[in-house]
Amino acid sequence: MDAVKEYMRVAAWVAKEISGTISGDEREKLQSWLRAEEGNRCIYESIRKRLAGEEKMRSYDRSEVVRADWMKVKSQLKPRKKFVYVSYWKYAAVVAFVIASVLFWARWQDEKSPRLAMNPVTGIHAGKKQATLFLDNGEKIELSDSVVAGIYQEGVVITQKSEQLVYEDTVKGREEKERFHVLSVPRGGEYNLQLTDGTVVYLNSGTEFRFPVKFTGDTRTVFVKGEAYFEVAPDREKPFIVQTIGDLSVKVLGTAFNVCAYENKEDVQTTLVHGGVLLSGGNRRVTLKPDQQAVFNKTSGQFEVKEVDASIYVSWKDGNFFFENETLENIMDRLCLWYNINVFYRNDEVRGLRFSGDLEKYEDFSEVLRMLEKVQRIEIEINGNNVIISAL
Amino acid sequence: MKFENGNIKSFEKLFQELYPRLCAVADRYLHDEEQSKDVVQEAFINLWNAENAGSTILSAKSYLYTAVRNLCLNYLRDCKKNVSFPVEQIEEPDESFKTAVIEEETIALLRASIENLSPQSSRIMKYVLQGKGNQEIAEEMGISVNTVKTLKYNAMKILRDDLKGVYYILVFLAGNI
Repeated sequence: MDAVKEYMRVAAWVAKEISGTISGDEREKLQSWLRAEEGNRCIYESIRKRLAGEEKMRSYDRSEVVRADWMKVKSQLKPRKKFVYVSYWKYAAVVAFVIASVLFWARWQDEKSPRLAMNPVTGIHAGKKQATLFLDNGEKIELSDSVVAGIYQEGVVITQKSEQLVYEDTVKGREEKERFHVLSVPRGGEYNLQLTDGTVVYLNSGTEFRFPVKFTGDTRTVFVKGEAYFEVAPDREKPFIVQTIGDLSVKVLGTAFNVCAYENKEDVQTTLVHGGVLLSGGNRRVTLKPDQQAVFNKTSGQFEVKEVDASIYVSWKDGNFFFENETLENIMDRLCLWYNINVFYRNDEVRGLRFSGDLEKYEDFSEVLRMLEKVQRIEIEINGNNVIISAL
Repeated sequence: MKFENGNIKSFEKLFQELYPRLCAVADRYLHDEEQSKDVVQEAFINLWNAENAGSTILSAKSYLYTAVRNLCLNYLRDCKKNVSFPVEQIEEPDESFKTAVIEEETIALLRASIENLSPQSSRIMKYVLQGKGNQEIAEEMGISVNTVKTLKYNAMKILRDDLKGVYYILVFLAGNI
């Protein structure tokens, strides 16, 4: 690349020399370049020769061709922020548009930059990898800033590898009472964890996850409040059980699924990606197939099973938010955890507006809002961490 | 600077400015105008989609030149699998790449700066670039040598600023991250 920059500098000197606009200083540089290699003089002569003769016009020299080819290229450019469609209840009207993918967040952190004032910054930042680990001895470890350099407990080594906490059992087969750790992910955070059995757990914002340091019982039982995605390592002997709020438990052998169980929500959603799960709650049992979702109502103890595109419900673990025909209220509920904001509705009817769309998690919140504002007839005010939405 | 969606305009400008010269470089490798255009389009699409490339206009330009060369070489290599192709023609890119970039870049710079001149000045500068003297130009255009001198003087003043501008604009954009 540096070589190319050098070529471009030389090209500028040659252009100036030929057009008679070169400065003395540049002329000297050009002269020494010409002397440096035999080939250089040839390049210069070749340019001279071309200018002296008639250049044949090639198709890509024509401005109409350049314009047409630009349209071709433009149509293939991936929007930096993907498209967002909006559909009102039953209308199929789909509006797609593009959100500027501005790295405001990164820039905003750079306080020295004088250009900050130009950006309409909301002051609301995207979340990041952060969590607090509570050990059973009462010790508390902040995982955002410190690197856990190998905690050793009862034969289990705990390390932090590329922002994932890894539990490894080094002494197998020892019977003992299960000891529990709690990983707490605040609003505006997310974190991953690998358990001793190899199961990988992704924890979303505002989630508390309680798990045994080592699985020594007949089952592998963990507890979750909030949202978590599980890739359960297969073990026929020891079923993996996720206990959640409302006395709901999800029993699996080896599978991948998502549990969304926030305390402030009426429903607990369990979405199966692959494998099979057995849910029990409120004296009822339900089995799920891949791409099915069980919605468990905490109050009534009833299940509702829906066919869904499971990838939409687990997109958060890969840095995206997918929404399919979701209400504004549900969307904001998810966003508010990640961006750590409070959302208020001035008019109740806006809560039910439905959106489908796709957002990148790490984008600045102001862009999210601008997108919502443009598509729907809503107005959004931001006041500190409070976001007020009203109908226009 | 990143090419954000808000910045698609600046990306378009970059395309308009660099497309012909990049195609010309590709054409030197491929000897095929249509194929060259495809290769350059691919390079622009890759630049847009690349997360870290194109952090400045200046490096976007060298990124594009380098990408075009690599894509051309890949293309030729792929062709070689089917057709027999002398290997050395493909493997010795550096000297020809250097020649291609300097030549096409220089020609493009001159052409672009001349386009900004008035029709008469632009005609005079074309003669100047061809290496013609004032007397010769005066005869070609049917005007006096003094008029040629004046027009040439004015044109070169504009050109000087223009060619200087090439450099400064790039630096300005590069500093504006």
